[in-house]
Amino acid sequence: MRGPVRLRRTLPRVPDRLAGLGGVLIALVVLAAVFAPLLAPYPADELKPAEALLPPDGAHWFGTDQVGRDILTRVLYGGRTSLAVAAAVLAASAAVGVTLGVVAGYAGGWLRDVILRVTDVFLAFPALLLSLALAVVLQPSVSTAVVAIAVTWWPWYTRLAASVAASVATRPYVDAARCLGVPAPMIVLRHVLPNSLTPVLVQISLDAGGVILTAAALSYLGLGAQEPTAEWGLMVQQGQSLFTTNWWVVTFPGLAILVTAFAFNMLGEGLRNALDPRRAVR
Amino acid sequence: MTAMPLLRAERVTLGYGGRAVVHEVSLDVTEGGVGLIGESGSGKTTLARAFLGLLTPMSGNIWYGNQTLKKADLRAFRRDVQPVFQAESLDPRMRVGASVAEALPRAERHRVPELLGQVGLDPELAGRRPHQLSGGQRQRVVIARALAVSPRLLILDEPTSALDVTVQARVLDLLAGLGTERLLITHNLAVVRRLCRTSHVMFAGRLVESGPTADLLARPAHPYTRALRDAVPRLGGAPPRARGRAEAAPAGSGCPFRPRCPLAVAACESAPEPRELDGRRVACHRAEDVLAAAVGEVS
Repeated sequence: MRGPVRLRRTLPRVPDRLAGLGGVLIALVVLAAVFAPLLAPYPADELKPAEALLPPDGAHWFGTDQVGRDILTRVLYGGRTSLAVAAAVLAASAAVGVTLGVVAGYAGGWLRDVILRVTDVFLAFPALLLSLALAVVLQPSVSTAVVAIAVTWWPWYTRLAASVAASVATRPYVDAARCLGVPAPMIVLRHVLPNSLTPVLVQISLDAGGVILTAAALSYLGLGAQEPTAEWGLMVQQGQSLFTTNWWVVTFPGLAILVTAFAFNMLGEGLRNALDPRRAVR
Repeated sequence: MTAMPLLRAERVTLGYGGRAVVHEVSLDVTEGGVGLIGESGSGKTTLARAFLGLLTPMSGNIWYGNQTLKKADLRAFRRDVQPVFQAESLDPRMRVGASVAEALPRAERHRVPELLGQVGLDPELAGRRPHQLSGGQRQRVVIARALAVSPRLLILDEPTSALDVTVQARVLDLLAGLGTERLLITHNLAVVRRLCRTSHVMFAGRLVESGPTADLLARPAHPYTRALRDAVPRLGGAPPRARGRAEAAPAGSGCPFRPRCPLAVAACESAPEPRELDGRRVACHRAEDVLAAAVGEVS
C-alpha cells in the first residue's frame, strides 16, 4: 500500500492539476484571440462564395461556412468577441455586486435589507428571460448583450459578497480595528473587502464559462452579436441547420465554447485553493 | 477614598437580537487587575465587548470615568482602552508589521520595530504574515498592536487559551510586566491568580461572586466558584468530576445554578440577591454553608 500513498504525495493534487490545465487552456484561448490577426490564415470577413461549405482540408483546417469564409479564422476572431463580452460582463457585475454586497454585509440593518430586497427583485426573473427582454428592448448588438447579461448577473455577487462580508465583519481583527478607531470605510477597504474576495473570485472564474454561454445563447437567438461580427454563438446559430450535412460549420465554434467554458470552471476550482492564505506555502 | 474606576458597568443587560444573555451586571474595573471568570457561554466576552464599546447595552450604562460611553469622547476612550484578543485575531492577509502600524498615526509608523521589540519579537518578523508565525509570536503581535496607542487599560479576552503551557507562561510574564491596568477574561484560574487582584465569577449571564482573587479561590462562598476551582486538574490528583446537570435554570426562575448545585434547597426557587459576606459579594442562599465548608478544608 506504500506505493500509491507515496505517489499521491509526489503528484500535485487532482484539483491543482485540473486548475493548471484550465489556466493553460485559457491562456491559449486568450493568446489565440489577441493574436488572431497574426494567426488567422485568411482575412476575417473575406467572402468566397465559390468556396462555400468546403470540408476541413489542408487549405481550410476547420472548413468554410455558407459564404466561403474560413471557419478557423472566424473561430480565432470569435474568441475576441466572446472573451471581451465575458470580461466586460464580469467586471461590471463584480464591481457593482461586490461593492453593494460588502456594504450590505458590513453595515447590516436596514441598509442590508434594502440592498438585498433589490437583488431579490432582479433574481425573481429567470436570468436568460430578463436578458432576452432587455436585448429585445435595446438594439441587438454585442454591447446590448453585455448590458443585458450584466443586469442579470450582479445580484449573485451582491448576495455572495454580503454573506461573506457579514461573516468577516464579526472577526476579531475587524473588532480590533474598530477599537483602534479606524473609520468604517477604511475597515471595509482594508479588512472586509480583501477577506471577502476569495469566494467572489472563485465565483467569477466559475461564471466566465456561463457568461460566454449566455452571450452565445443571445447571439444564437439573434439578440447579441450581429453579422458580420465573428462570435461563437452566432456561428453555431448560423450553422445549426447544416449539422447533419456540413458538421464542421457548427462543431468548431461549439467546441471553442465548450473548451473555454470548461477551462474557466477548472480554473475556478483551483483558485478556491490557491487564494486561501492558510493554504499558502510557508 | 477610593479612586474612580476607569470603567464601570452599572446594572448592564446585554444581548443579541433582543434576547438578553447578560443580566443586570454591575462591575468596576479597578486597579491591580480584574479577572472575569466563567465557563463558555457565561457572558464574559459579551460583557467585554460592551466595555470596548462594540456592543450597546439593552439597559444600564457603561461608565468611562464620569461619563457614559454614549456621551464620552470616543477618541480618548480608544486611546485609553484596547483589546487583546486571541492569537487568531490578526488579519490573515496583512503582514504583521502592517497590523501593528494600523494602530499608529502615519507619522509614527517607524515605531513598529520598537513595539515588536517591546513584546520580545524580532523586528524582522514585521514582514511575515500571521500564518508564518507561531501561536506565541502571534499573541505577542496582538499585544504589540494594543500597546501602540499606550492604553491605560487592556481588556484581555482569553489571551493565552490557545497557547501551550510554556508559551502561556512567557506571554503571562510579558503581560504581568507591562504596567497597564487589565481586565482579564478567562476560564483559566491559574492565569487569574497570577494577574488579577480582584475577580468576578459569572454564571449564565450573572455575577455570582466577586472579591479578592486569593480569597475567592482559597475559600469560595458560591458553589459554582467552588465547582470551578475543584474542576482544575491536579498532577497526581483524582480526575475532576462534573456534578449535576450541565444547563442553567431558565432566566427568571430562581437561582440559575440550582440545577447543578449539590446544595440546592427550596429557597433556591427564588433568585438570590447579591450580598456582602466575608469581604466579598456573593449571590447564593447557601453562601455561609459553602464558606464554612471551605474554611474547614483550609484548616
